[in-house]
Order: sequence, then structure tokens, then C-alpha cells
Amino acid sequence: MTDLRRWWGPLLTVLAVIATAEDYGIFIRQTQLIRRGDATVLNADVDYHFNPAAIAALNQGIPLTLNVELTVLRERPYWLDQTVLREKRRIQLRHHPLSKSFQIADLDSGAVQGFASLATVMDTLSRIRGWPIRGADRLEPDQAYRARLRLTLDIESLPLPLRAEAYASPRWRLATPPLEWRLEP
Amino acid sequence: MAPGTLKPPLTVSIVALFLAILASLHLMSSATQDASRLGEMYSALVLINSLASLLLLSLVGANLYWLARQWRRSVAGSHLTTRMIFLFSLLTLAPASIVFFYSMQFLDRSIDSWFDVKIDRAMEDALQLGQTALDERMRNLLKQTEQTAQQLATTPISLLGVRLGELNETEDAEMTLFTRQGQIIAFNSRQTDSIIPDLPEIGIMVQVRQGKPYVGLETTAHESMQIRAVVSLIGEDAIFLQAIYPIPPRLARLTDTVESAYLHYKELSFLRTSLKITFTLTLSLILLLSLLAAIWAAFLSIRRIVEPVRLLAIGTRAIAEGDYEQRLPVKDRGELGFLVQSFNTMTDKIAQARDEAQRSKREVEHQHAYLETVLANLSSAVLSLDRELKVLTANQAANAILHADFNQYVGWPLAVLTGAYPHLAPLMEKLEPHMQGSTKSWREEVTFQGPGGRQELFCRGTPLCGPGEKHKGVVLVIDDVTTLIQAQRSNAWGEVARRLAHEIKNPLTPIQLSAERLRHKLAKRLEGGDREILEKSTRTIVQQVEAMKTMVNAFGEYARPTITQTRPLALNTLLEEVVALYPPPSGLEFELDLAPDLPPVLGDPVKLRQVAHNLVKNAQEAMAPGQSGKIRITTGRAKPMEPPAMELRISDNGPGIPADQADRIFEPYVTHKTKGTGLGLAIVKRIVEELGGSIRLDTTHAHGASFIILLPFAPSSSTNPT
Repeated sequence: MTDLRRWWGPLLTVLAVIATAEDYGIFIRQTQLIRRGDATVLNADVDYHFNPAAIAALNQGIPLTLNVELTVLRERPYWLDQTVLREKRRIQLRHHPLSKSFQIADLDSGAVQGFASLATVMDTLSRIRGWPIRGADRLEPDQAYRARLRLTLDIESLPLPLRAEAYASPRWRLATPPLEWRLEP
Repeated sequence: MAPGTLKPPLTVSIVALFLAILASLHLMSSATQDASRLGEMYSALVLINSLASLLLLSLVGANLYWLARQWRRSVAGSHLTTRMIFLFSLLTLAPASIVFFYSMQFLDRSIDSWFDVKIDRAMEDALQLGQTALDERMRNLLKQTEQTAQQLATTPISLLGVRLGELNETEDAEMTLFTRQGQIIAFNSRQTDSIIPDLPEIGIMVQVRQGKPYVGLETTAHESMQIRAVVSLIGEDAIFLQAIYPIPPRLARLTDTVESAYLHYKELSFLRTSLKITFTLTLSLILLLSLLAAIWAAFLSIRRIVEPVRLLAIGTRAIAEGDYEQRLPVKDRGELGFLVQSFNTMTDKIAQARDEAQRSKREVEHQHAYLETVLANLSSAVLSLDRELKVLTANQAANAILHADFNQYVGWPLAVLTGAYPHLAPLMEKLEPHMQGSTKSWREEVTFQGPGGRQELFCRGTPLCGPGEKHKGVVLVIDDVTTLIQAQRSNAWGEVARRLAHEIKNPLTPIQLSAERLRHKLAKRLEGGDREILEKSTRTIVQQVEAMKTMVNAFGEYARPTITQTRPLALNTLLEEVVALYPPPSGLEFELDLAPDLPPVLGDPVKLRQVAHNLVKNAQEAMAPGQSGKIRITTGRAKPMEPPAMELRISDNGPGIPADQADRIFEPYVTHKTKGTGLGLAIVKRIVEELGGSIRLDTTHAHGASFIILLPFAPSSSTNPT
């Protein structure tokens, strides 16, 4: 019994860490890939639960980078699934203390959008609307696909001193649980 | 890991590994210092170096495990290796730890020294200054926009576009008029690249719709700044005016510098702890990696150093166990190599010496064995004694002649020997004066009373002298000459008997005939007393001549070489027949104890009968007159230690034989009796010896005389006895 009791402390600590780790993250509430005219666009509702350290880092001028990755797979019964298309976007959040504003920048296109408060930034990021998906014309209309959307905080683009801590701490590992849905023809 | 030695390829690979580790450490250190492209590789480098640490750790662990096993098994060289490893690790760890400790402290302090309250304050103030300057400009621009809106308010909707163009003539701004629904009414811009108006975000719209004008500073995509002002037209709260003014380049540059410096400082101060952790991690990893590599290298090199010592220990152990064939490989040209080489030479020499010693030993053993064989096959007893008269060696013949087991008493003094065999005491007493201290050879004839009867011994002694005439002991050579002396006597007697028979027998017949003729011629002429005298004298002569004839015949009998016809015969039957010839009136009483199932003996029935008769007669004659004689005859097998033979024992209850005559009883004319020729036993002895047997007087017999005859058994292939 004494042996068991000795393990309670570490066990509880581990459980607490897991619980806190559960609290932070990026959660996709709903998503869809729809055809609008000629283009196929992505709509998604996402909840962001950044840990206070990440918010503090953002306020201290450290940009946070989010990776948004959409993968469409064609199912093959006797073989590994084939990746039909992979769309990846890198979105950066920045803070400008002089203008007391926030910015969202698409690192691929270079487009930026300014916001007066963090709340509006989060609000904008939460609603992904009409993101055009390139190469969607490769999807055949009468074929069933599996789509997977994943949002992660890019630790590698954090400043070097922060990386070790970010890799070590589960609070920094902000990523969606892999969300998959079927694309019916 | 096998405890092998370092081979060139391994050395090369170790050097390569060390270089790789060094390179990766250098890269990691560079990555920590600046945020160049190496920064992107930092995580990978940390991972690689951690893996390298793990690899080295497992190598060191394997080596430690190997060492512990060696230590537990007390393998040669393991103690030295352990001590050297311990020392090496201590020498490596101590300075490295000290340097590490002070580096950490230095790092900690120097990072802390970057941050200062004054600088912190200055940064905040600089930002505030910039913000104040911009705020001033923003207020002015808002006022200006509001004035423009007032002027536009009175303009009819159809002319708004033209009017907007006129008002913007003096300004370098982008002006847009739009409705509450976001529909653009008019747009004017001097900038050629902005064709589409940049409408405000939803947060601003909410504010403006409530009637509050908005002014704000924005950072554009090109890292330049602009001021956005949004106001509603007076009276027309459904139409809004937005004016976007660029910041003058000089001001923009200044504020940008302030902002980026502020951000950099803020970032640094935010990352202060993380920076320390990262530096510590990098430094620790470098320390760990180099320490592990050093310890591993220490293992490899120490093993190489200890190898010759280990081999030497193994070699020494092998030599201690008597294995001189061990040759150690010479791999080193240094002092240790010389040591190993010398060891090999020494082993060679020892092996040679050992071979030489073994060869001499074999030779000595061979000689010894040869001498032993010669001595064992010698009929003479050979005894060697040391200075204190302890028995050193004795041959087989010594045991047989002296009736003692000398081999059991090798190393014991003579006194112990005579204690165990009392019959040797008189002999040794006689010989001891010669043996002690005599430096000359001597010889002596001794009569020895052994358990088997009296023996004539011819003893010779030779002192053993070591170098410098030192007395070391004595060699005794003893010959049993009993048989020889007896044979000489017997031969002499045979000769006498033959002469007597020849010389005396011839004149006897004429004497007898002459005496008878005298009686025949003179008896008629003489009368009375004369005639009686004649009769009496001639009768005496004839009788005595007759007696002499008998005597001479007996001599002849003794001297005549007998040709014996031997054949297998049952002695028991023969004895019973002989006994039957002496019926009770003869005054003799027989007691026969004949062993059944005896094999036949080889003999001449006539001669053997004579033997039996002679012995019986001998007993009968020895009896005192009127005494009833009891004769006991037993047959049986001889004792196992003697050659296989039949033992015949004839004993009587007579007066026995005096001890002084016992040894000569079998010689002619040696008799203690009143009757008899004195040749009976001599003849018996002669016959028995001719048949290959032996006769002796049992001196241990208490009452009367007892003779023991041993006769050899007939060979089993012979025909059945008749």
C-alpha cells in the first residue's frame, strides 16, 4: 500500500498536465468543401484556445504562425490511400505596438489584414470562409474522397530560444485533432 | 563489444565520428548565436546531438558492463583498467564541471546584464513619443476629414464624385464615400496602384454607425504606415467618408525604427528565461557529448594500453600452471612491447630447461629401473643402509633369504626391523660392528637361524663413500650357501662310501672264507677248550664280517647313483600300504591324517616306499626299549607361499633330536640312536632330492621328532596314478 501511495503524487501531476493540455488547442467545430461556381472553396469554423504564454508572446511582438493543411485522399481498397491534393497555407499573427493593432498575414500570398484588437483577429480567424482550393478540378465528380483538415501552431517558426520549451511543453503543442470527413459525389 | 584491439580502420572511424560530433556541436553553437539559416536547423541539430549522446552513452554503458563483468570474474588486467578509467573520468570530469559551472554563471549574468530598467524605460518612452507624434497627426487628419465631410454634406449626391475630386486636390489621400451597406458612391485616389477602395473592417464600421468618427494607424503589407479616418457626413448618416493618408516617409522610417527596436527588446526580455534554458541546453549537450566521447576514447585507449599487461598476467598464470608453450603477441614497440618480448624469451628458456630436466630425469629413471631389474633378478640378497643404519634399498632376494619384508621398512633403522623380525637380531648383532664406521670391505660367514631352519650365509659388506672419503653408508651382499655346503658334504660322503664299498668289501669275503676254512680244518683236530675257542672266534669273525658286509652294502646303497623311474602316483595309497606292513605286534601305533583329493605326485614307488620305511624305522629305532611308539602321518598341500607341492609330515613321540645335531641329521653317520647304520636319513634325503623335493626337520615340533617332506605334484597332463 505504501508503495502505491508513493505513486499518487506523480500520477496526479501527470493527470493535471494532461487535463491542462486538453484545455489548450485548436478545435475545428465544422468544416465543408463546397463548389461555388467554378471554384471549390473551404469553409470552416474553428475555436482557438491559445495558452496565456502564447498570447503573452504575441503581445511582446513574437509572431505566431499557423499551418492550415487540407488533404484530399482517394480511398483504395487494397493499397494505401492516394493523396489527390494537398493545400497548405501559412498564416501569421503579428502585433504592432506603435499602432496598437494586430495583423494577419498570408505568408504565401503576402496579403495582410489589420485589426484593432485581438478579439477581432480571433473572430476573423475562427470563420474561414470561401478559401479557394487550387487543383480542386482534379476531383472527379462521381468519386468518393476523404478530406482531412488540420491546423497547427508552427513551433519551428518561433524564435529559437522558445523552441526547446515549446517542444517540451504540451501547452505549446497547439494542433487540431485530425479531422476527417467524407466527400460524397 | 569484444575486448579486441584497435585496428587502423577503427581508429579512422573513431576520428571521423569525433569530427562529425565536433562539426554538429559547432553548428548547434552557431545556430544558438544568430538567427541565420542555421536557426532553422537548430531543432534537427539538437536531435542529432542527443542521439549521438545516446549512442555514446550506450557505448560507454556497454564498456562499463563489460568492465564490471571482467572485474567480477577477476580477469587479468580488469583492476588496472578500472583504476585507469576511474582516474581518467575524474580527470576529465573535474575541469569540465568547473568550466561548465562558471560558464553557466557567466552566461546567466551576461544575459541578465542585457536588461536594464533604464533601457526598459527608454524603450517605452521612445514608443510613447512616436505614438504621441502620430496621435497629433491623426487628430489633425481627423479634423481635416471632418471638414471635408462638412463640405461634402451640402453637395448633392450626383455631384459627390466631382466634389470629392476637387477636395482631394490638395491632399495625397485615398478618399472613398460609401453607404451603410458598404456600397461605394465615390472613390478618389492619386495612387495609381489602388484601383479598388480599401474598405474598413467590421469593427470600425460598428463604431462609425453609432455616430462616432474613427481614426487609426495601420501597417500596410509593405511595412509602411497609413492613417485611416472614417466619419459620417453631417445630416446624412447613411453615407460615410473614409480617408486614408499615407505617413510621410521620414516619419514612417523613424517610427519603424523605434517600433522594431522596441519589438526586438521586448522579444528579448520575454525570451530571457527561454534563452538561458536554450544556452544551458546547448552547453550541457556539448559537455555531455564531449565527456562521453572522451570516456569512450579512454576505454578504447586504456584497453589498448592494458592489453600487454593483461597478456603478461595470463602468460604468468599459464607458466605458474606449468604451461610453457604460451607465446604472447608483440604488438607494441614501446616499453610494454619489450616487456612482452622479454617474457617470451624467458618462457622459451624455461621450456628448454624443463625439457632438459625431464630428459635427465627420464634417463635417471631408466637407469634406476635397469638397476632395479638387475638387483631383483640377483640370487644374492643386496641391502643398502645409510650412515645411521637405516634401510635404503633391499632386493627381492633379500626378502627371500632373510625371511623378512624389507620394502615395508625402507627408511627405518635396523632396530625397528629387528623388532618386527626377531630372527634377524642375532645376524644383525654380528654384522653391526662391521657396518659402523668401517671404511674397508669385509666378508664373513654367518650361521643364521631362520624360521625355515638353519642357513649358512656368506655376507660381504662394502662401505659407501661420498666425495672426500666421507662415510655415507654400507652395501650388504648376502648369499645363502646352505645348499652349496650341504651338496659339498653329500658329495664327499658319497665318495667315502664308494671308496669304502670298494676297498673294504673286497677283502671281506676272503676273510670270511679263511675263517670258515680254519674252523673246518682245525675243528676236527682240536679237543675240548681249544675247540670251543676256535668255534667261538671263527663265529665272531664270520658274524662281524657279515655285519661289515651289511654295512658296506649300505654304503654302496648310499653311494650308488640311482636311476629313478618316475611316474605319477597316489602317495596316500602308498603310505597306507607301508603302514599295513607294521601290524600292532610291532609295537608301533599309527595315526593317519591323509587329505583327500590330492593330485598325484611325481615319484618312483620303490624309492618312496624306502623313504617311508626308513622314516618309520628311524622312529622305531629312536624309541626307548619297551616304549610304545606313536607315529602320526599327515599329508596335505604345501603352504601357498611355497611352490605347489605335497607336504608329507611324519612325526613321532620319541625323545626327539638334540638341537646341536639338528642341522647335520641328514649327513651320513650322524646318529643319536643306539641302533641303525646312520645312513637311513641320509638316503631318505638323497632320494627326496633326486625326486625334486626337499626334507627338513620341523624344529618347532615339541615332543619327538617331526620331518616335513615336500614333493612336487605331477604335471596335470600325466596319466592317472596307478
